[in-house]
Amino acid sequence: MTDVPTTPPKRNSQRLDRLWTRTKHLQKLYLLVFPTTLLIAVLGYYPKIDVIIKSFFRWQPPSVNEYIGFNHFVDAFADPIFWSSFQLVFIMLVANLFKMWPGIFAGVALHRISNDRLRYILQVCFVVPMVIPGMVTLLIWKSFYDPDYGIINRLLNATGLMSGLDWLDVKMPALATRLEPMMQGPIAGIFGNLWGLMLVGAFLLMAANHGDVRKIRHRAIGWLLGASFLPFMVEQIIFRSGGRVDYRVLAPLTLLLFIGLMWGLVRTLGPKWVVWMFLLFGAVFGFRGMAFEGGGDNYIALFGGKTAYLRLFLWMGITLAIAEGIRSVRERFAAEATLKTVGTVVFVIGGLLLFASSIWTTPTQQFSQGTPAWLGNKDLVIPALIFWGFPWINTVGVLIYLAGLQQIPIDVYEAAELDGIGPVGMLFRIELPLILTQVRINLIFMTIMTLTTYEMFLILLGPNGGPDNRGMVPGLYMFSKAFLEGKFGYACALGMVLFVMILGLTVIYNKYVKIEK
Amino acid sequence: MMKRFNSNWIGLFLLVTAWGYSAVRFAGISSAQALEEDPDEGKKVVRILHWQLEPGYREGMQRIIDAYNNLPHVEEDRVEVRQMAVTERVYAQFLNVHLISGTAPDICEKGMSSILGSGAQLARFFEPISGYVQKPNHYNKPEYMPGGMSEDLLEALDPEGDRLPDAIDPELADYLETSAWSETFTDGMLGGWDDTLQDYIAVPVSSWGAMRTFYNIDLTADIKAFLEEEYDRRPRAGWLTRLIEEERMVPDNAPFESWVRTPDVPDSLGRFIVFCEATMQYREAKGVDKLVPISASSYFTGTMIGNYIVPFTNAIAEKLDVDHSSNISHEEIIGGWQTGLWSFDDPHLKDGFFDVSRWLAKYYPPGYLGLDREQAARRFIHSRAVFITTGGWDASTLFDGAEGKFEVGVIPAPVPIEGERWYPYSAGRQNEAESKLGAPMALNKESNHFDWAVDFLRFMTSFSANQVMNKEAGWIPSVVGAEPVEAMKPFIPRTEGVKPSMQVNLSNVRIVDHVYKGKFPLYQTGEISYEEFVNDVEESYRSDRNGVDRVWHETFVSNRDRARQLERSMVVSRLRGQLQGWDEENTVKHNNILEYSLTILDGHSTKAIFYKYFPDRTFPEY
Repeated sequence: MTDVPTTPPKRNSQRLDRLWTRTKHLQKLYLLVFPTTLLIAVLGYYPKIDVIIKSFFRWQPPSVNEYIGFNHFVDAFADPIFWSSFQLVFIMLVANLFKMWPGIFAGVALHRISNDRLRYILQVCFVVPMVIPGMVTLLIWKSFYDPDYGIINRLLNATGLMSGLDWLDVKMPALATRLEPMMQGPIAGIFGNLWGLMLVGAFLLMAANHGDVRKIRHRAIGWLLGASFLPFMVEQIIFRSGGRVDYRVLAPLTLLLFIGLMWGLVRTLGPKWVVWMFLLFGAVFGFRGMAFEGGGDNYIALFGGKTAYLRLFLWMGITLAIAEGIRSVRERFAAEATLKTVGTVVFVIGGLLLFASSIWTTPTQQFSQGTPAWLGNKDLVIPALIFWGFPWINTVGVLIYLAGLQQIPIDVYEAAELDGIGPVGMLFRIELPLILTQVRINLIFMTIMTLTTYEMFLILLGPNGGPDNRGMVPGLYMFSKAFLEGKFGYACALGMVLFVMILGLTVIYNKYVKIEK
Repeated sequence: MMKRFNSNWIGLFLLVTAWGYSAVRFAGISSAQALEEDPDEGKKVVRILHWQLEPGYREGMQRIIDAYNNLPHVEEDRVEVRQMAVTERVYAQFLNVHLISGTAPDICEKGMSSILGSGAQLARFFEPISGYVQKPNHYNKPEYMPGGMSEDLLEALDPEGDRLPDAIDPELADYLETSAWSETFTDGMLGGWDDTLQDYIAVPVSSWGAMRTFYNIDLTADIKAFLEEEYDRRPRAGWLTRLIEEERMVPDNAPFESWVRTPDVPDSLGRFIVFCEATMQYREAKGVDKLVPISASSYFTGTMIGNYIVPFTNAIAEKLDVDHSSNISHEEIIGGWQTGLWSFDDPHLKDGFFDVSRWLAKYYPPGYLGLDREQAARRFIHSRAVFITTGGWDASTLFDGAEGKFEVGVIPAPVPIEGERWYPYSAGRQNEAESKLGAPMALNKESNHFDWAVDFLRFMTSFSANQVMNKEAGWIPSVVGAEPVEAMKPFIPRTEGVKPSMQVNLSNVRIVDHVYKGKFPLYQTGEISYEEFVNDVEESYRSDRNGVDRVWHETFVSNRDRARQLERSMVVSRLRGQLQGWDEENTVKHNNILEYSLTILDGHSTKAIFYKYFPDRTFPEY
């Protein structure tokens, strides 16, 4: 055999030479960024990577460190307390949508102050409270909620609002009782339940926002149908299996299905259709366990099927048909506005009925003595947590809004003035649309904070989340698993689940929730 | 044309000036420090970490630290002890982080952290001290005892002259001087013993005594007078008739009548309820705003109801002790439930413990679950509550707070007596003889001044220093013969009653405790019925992945971990035996660990109990 000269070493060295020449002028830059990169890697990324690794271990430092594969994740998916803790997170996220307004108003008010010095002083006044440690603020608020000596009950008693609450404590459950026949009758019969009614409103809004359904391509229809039916199928498997379906298979499959369908919808129908999956997710929650059961027997004949499941799709079709009908008789913008109005009205009516019939259904009997236990009663814990921090003017948020407002060119204001837009119109037509980027940033911050925070709940309610664990949030549950039960590996796995969720939500916010100015 | 002044220059000027000033100050301080001698240079600093922020404790500890720092041999070696007090809410995190990072103080109070509960975890960070505790404590020699100590030491320890006696009983002095250090503790140093290591791992420096109920003597007298009026009223007050005739809280007999006619505090559970109801009526009648019978909070609720677990569950516990250990384990509790040995319908639970807990909750302040420990103590101090149940650690807070306002009395928790509603379900008062000493101080293995740390602990638990510190703190001393302050005498454990380990405490059965802990307060406050409470709890017990079957598995895993820790300890012991020879101490220790390990059998003891209950089932695996 003869030796055949080989060329690869030469080729490799040539490649290295070329790389060296190409990056020669960048080497100093690499050198400069090296310390920062190293620090970030060691202090920023290493602990996170370690969390990922430890989530696969039964880790109880310093002695127990045993590899257990995906067991923690299986436990996490089957942990009812972990998942029920997201209920409060969801409520807090919805509440945040309302609680961000005072901050926006404060930012606008500051921005509109014409006297620079006064504005500066007020800006400083906004920043000064930031020096007060968060713990102190928490403890002050905890004392506010003291039933006997707290300022909130004293104020409510002094202003007579306590009697108002006491009156509501009688009237609201009575209203819920009076609404019951309507809920069980027409609402359940026609829409399945109140969630169904709200979903109809949401579908109408979707139809208004997402353009002409006739333009949807055939491939997209497949995705749309898949996205609409499959979550219900999974839901059925869960409820019909009677616990026989292994969570180890079901949980990751559901998650994958949800993400896959979302991706498909967005790719074929456009970014805005990301909302569809969330609507369907809401529908699965709203109709959980009753997809093949009916309600409101007297009305069944009207829609020809004893299934909430079919009724929902019937309504999806009806709303799309209504949308197309309106589009066919009115011009595009007018049709869009009409659909938005109708959708909003239906949604709001659904929301109000939900509030009136499902939230305050039994008297708390906390207000008659004038000493409601805001943090000690299971029904008052969540309202107390929502009210916490009133008037909800977050300094950082205000500064972010202010930065956005200051970027609005003066000629936009002048043009608006020439068009005869008043101060209120200026807020909703000029300022708010132009600071939506900042609003989005704040929403992302708020979402991340709501999902990860636990300190407030720990201080106010203790490690079990207060009465009936109503104040349990995922962060607090993670903390209590790690530091009270010593299950660090499990806490790492919970953290990983949370991380994936936050990452997903942030990606969705950034990629698909577009701001059109 | 004059150019307009740019105001930004002012900002720049201020910035440069501030930077320049900082630079000059920094340079000045650095050079001054370089020239000056470091006050800590050459010093041996011994730090002691604890979470006792109750009034008096830090002052008491500081007093003995100062006295120790001024001892001639300590000064000569430039040793200085410093205390670090960290709030209990963050103590566990603080200790864990510093132990793992190797920066923990030399002496740390053991507890709070579940990670450092026992066994190998403890041994990894803290030094077992069996080698030290067998020798006498030299700080119990006559030169450190009352009557024999130097003027300087006496002045440092007892400047007011009210913390130490002039002299002590010679027999006691002799015992303390000659006995092993461990024998000088009232519990034989059991509070510092770790079963899994078969070693002393900490030095207990105080005792909190047993749980007691504090009461406002002045208010009690007023309410008793009111109760007497109501008792004598004809027709008798409706609320009293209801409690006596319908609720059968107390028998309407001569002893009850004579109790009503005295200013005495309730001495039985039935009378306690009658008194609490009288307090509610008194509040209405006299218009005493915000007065409640019992001051409670999320913290104090447990202390109150905790008094009744043993009396009411003892009878059930007797049925559950399948391994005859006189100690009811989690396995025995859940196995008993699964096989029907006990149920929530058992009258000891339904009509006893749970009924009592609901009745007591009627007399707590509104929204007590949202109140914290400080708020509850404040309510008692402000005479807005007659009773509060807690341990000796809160005694000084309550006594000091009430000083000048009202008199405070202390009683053990009242239990039912014959003829009362709950008497048939109660086994009587809990025995407190097994109470261990508290505030155990452990020695950090990484300590740079280990011997001095041990020396300080010896000083801290010498007769004189321990009595001074605990009198200052208002706690019970841990040393034999040392006297507590008068007010702490009611906290000295009572030795009669039911064995405390024979109890069924459902809130302690991990894995399935979350639902129980969440729903129990709702049942207590009347927000859910007993049936709803039981349904929720039993549903959680039956849960596929997080129910009682999981408890079996987790207990097995936990016992296996413990067995492995014991094996590690045995390996160390064997190695020591091979290298240094098998002395008696090491032999006993090795054999004890071996014996203890055999009772666990690598976790298979749990499986053995499981198969005793369920011979035909396979052991749950997850």
